[in-house]
Amino acid sequence: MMKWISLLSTLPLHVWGFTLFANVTLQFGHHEVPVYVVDEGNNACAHGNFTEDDLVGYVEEATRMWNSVSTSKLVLVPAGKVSGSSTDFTTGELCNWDASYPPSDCTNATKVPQVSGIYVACSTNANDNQNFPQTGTYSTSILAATTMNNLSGTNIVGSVVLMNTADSSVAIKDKSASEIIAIVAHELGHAVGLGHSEQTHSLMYEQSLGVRTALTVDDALGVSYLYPVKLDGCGLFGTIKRIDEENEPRNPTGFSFALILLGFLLVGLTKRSFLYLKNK
Amino acid sequence: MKLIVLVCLILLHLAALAEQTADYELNRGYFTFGSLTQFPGEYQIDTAGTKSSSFDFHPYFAGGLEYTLPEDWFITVEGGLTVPETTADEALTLYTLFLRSDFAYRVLGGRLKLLIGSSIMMMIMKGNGGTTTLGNAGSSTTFYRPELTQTTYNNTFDLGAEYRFNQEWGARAQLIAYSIFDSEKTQYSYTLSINYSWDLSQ
Repeated sequence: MMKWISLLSTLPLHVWGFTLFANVTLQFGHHEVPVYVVDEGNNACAHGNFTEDDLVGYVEEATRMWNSVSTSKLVLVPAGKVSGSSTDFTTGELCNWDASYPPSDCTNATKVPQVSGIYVACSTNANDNQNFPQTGTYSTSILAATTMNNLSGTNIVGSVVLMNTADSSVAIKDKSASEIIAIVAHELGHAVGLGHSEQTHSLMYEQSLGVRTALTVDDALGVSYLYPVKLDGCGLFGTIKRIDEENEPRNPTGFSFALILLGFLLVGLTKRSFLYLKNK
Repeated sequence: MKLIVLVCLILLHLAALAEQTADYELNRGYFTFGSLTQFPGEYQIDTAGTKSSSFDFHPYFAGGLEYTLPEDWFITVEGGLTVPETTADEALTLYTLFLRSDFAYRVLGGRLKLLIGSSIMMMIMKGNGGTTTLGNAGSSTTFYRPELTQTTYNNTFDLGAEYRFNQEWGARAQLIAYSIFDSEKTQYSYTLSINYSWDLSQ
């Protein structure tokens, strides 16, 4: 019997490769995260052949992809446009993590402002080695960039997504609406704490390959890992818990449904045992 | 609405417990082997946009008890576990543990049982940590593999049917609906299984 179970466990059933953004687990502290589109009144998205209003629609579709995962409590809430008279987001520079945690550069006043929630903006910043760097220069082939620029310990407070619409040669201008939605969804994955995936068909793969109209199992597992549904109270209400609270004493009112089932089993078995002994 | 459904389920179970007639008894035990297909057609499986197939062989084992109620009604309680899956690089191990309770009604002279009930589906993801270097905007970046054990808990609504070949052997199909109160997150899985049961009333 055990040989069969061992054999079954070696079947190549699925392959996953989701990763996380940092060497500590970063996640939003609340499971409902607003996603805003920045409109600073300067038609910053023009080089990308879309408008800020189009971007609002792309964000709505992209959030729908992440919100469809039943094993994740995360809900990205499209919150429409936020206006600004300055050009802090559309011309500003994202803070640089240098691949280290905690990032020290994000409170710098010269950087894109720290936010609460997720801000999506078009960037016209074509400066070398800033938002869309490649080998130290600006690259038109980079489609977008994301930074979690506001952290409180290991809680993500805010992330900024910048779409590369810096000049008329940007690669994103040739992308279809569905491709741009996939790009936005990919960046939202970074914004909530996911890294790249090794799976080429995954939404979180480094490149925008082929058709990406839905999450893969890999993406769904990643967001479920970071934002798992937890039972609370009577068991039909899910709540989000930080995963590093996993080892803390569990709320005694949790698992009530499982306890009901186990109680039922015990009563039945006890009665069965009693009848057996009585008839013996 | 959720609270009303939960209270109804609890009251129905308690009512069954309180029934002290001769027809209420722990009648049969059973052992099940089956396949759990998670979220068919929901997720993309290649760069052409193909969605996951309608059937996915994902084996599980389960055991349960059946209580006979009056008037061709039964209650079944079941616990099961899927065979763990591990990535080729052993970065992540995934398996599902479930606890289920169903009301069943026997029709067609006892050959067919219709089931309605609820489960707790616990998807357990065990990360083994480590790092990997992946491409990022023309260069490469170190990303981090999950290192903790994380469990998601979903309370589901289940519908099923079981065909009895004879007293011992049967086959069951069961639909598992996730997040039925949240239309954006509603997803479906299903199981196909065979079971062997034996009489406990002797």
